[in-house]
Amino acid sequence: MKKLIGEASELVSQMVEGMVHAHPELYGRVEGVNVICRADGAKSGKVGLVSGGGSGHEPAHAGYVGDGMLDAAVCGEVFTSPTPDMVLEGIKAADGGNGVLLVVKNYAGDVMNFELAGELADAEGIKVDHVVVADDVAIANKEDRRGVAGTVFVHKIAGAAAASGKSLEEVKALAEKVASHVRSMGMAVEPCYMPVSGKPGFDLNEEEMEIGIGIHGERGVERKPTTDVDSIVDDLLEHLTKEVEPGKVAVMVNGMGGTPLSELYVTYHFVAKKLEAAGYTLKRKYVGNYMTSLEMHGFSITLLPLDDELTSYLDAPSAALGFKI
Amino acid sequence: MLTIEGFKQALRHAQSEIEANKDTLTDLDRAIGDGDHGINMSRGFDAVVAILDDEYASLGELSKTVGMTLMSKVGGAAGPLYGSAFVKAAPKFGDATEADFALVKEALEEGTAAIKARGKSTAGQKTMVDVWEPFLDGLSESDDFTSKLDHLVNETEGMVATKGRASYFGENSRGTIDPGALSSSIVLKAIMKEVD
Repeated sequence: MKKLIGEASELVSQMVEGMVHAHPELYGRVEGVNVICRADGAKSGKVGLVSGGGSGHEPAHAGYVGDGMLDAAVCGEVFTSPTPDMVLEGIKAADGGNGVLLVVKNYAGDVMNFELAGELADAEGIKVDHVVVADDVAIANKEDRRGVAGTVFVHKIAGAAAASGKSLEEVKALAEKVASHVRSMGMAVEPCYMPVSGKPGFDLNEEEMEIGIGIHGERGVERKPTTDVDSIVDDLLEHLTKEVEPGKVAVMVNGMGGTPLSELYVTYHFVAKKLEAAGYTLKRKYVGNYMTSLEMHGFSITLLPLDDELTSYLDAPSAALGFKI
Repeated sequence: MLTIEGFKQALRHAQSEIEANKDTLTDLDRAIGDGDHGINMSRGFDAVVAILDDEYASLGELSKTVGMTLMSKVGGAAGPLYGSAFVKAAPKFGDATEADFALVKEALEEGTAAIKARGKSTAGQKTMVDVWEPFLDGLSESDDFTSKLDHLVNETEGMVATKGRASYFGENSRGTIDPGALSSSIVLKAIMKEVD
């Protein structure tokens, strides 16, 4: 697999360096660590919001750092959870004296490393809490569900709440409200390739696709013969609509990194048509690359039921490059 | 007896064995995980070898430093799990500069408890716990450590994962050895070799 990279082991650090250099008005870097923080530092009195995880999901997570969203993004190696000491640096960079909320995706590594970091921060006198996002309906058992693209809505809404001056408890409650209602499901027609090993996350022949993928290049829960996107959308929506009642929703059609925008809009066209026919009102629509898996060719659909409170936080201003409002 | 020098030797040996098995670990992880276990373990143990040139006053101090290094270099789920194992084993070793079989076994049992607590896992879920726990259970000095460990690793092949990323594949996780079980056997073999 051809890659446009230097030394694979330096990929993350060089990416972080590039981001900070390109957007100095927005980003700072915690010295010596792959942690991106706000250029102007932690905002005094505001609840800090930290997210992160493995890299390879760009624009997640650094793309969501900015006024109205995250204060720091901890960038682990590609698809590998960052270590507790790195997350601790992120917490320190985001701490404005009123506590820090960690947004964690439900992967064993992320949960353990962020929990450990929370314990370390606690020992240093920083008040830390966390919310775990597990929005992937492909996994039947709710406790085991992965955190995927729905996490972006948690960043946005918790970020807006923190920016409006809410307390750590209030921001956490809102983040949990989003996390408990948001649902996603993804698929891929082509895998992504690990930068260090050069190997694909899974081997797929011309006539096959993976349904129910996560965001770390891993296989889906089901392998099926490829079909047209109209039918694939039916398949994913069947799972999603079982758990999200008809009504007002925000919908996101998220590209996995290697999907042309034309295909994402075609996908969205079918998603919108089917949801509206089924009685859903699409109050807010997002189409693009929000939570990717390197160059994987595929997409995910996310649904978030909306009330007035969530809608107003979703619409609040954001300076983050990946979710500018 | 496990001496400080022997412990260092075990860790160097573990590093070279992980390096030799890096692709196997990664391929197993590609099948039922996300394909980075070999890469992460190799990065972590390379960092461990780098701290072995320092002087350590006790086995406890060395074990703790190894744990902290793994925690901060491996990443993923393996980092906190291996890291916690060595950190929690450290107080058992305490100030001792050498440990007999019984003490090593007790320290590794502490390590197992730490892995289970941090990973919220138990035996039978197709994880590294399926090597650590049954290996130490009833272990005696006269056992053939290597064959016991190999047997336990092979046992994971027939299991269905109910914890960790492999659990997403449900029944499809059967038929592949758990990569964490294999890396655990490499580390434990290296340590037990030095206890003899």
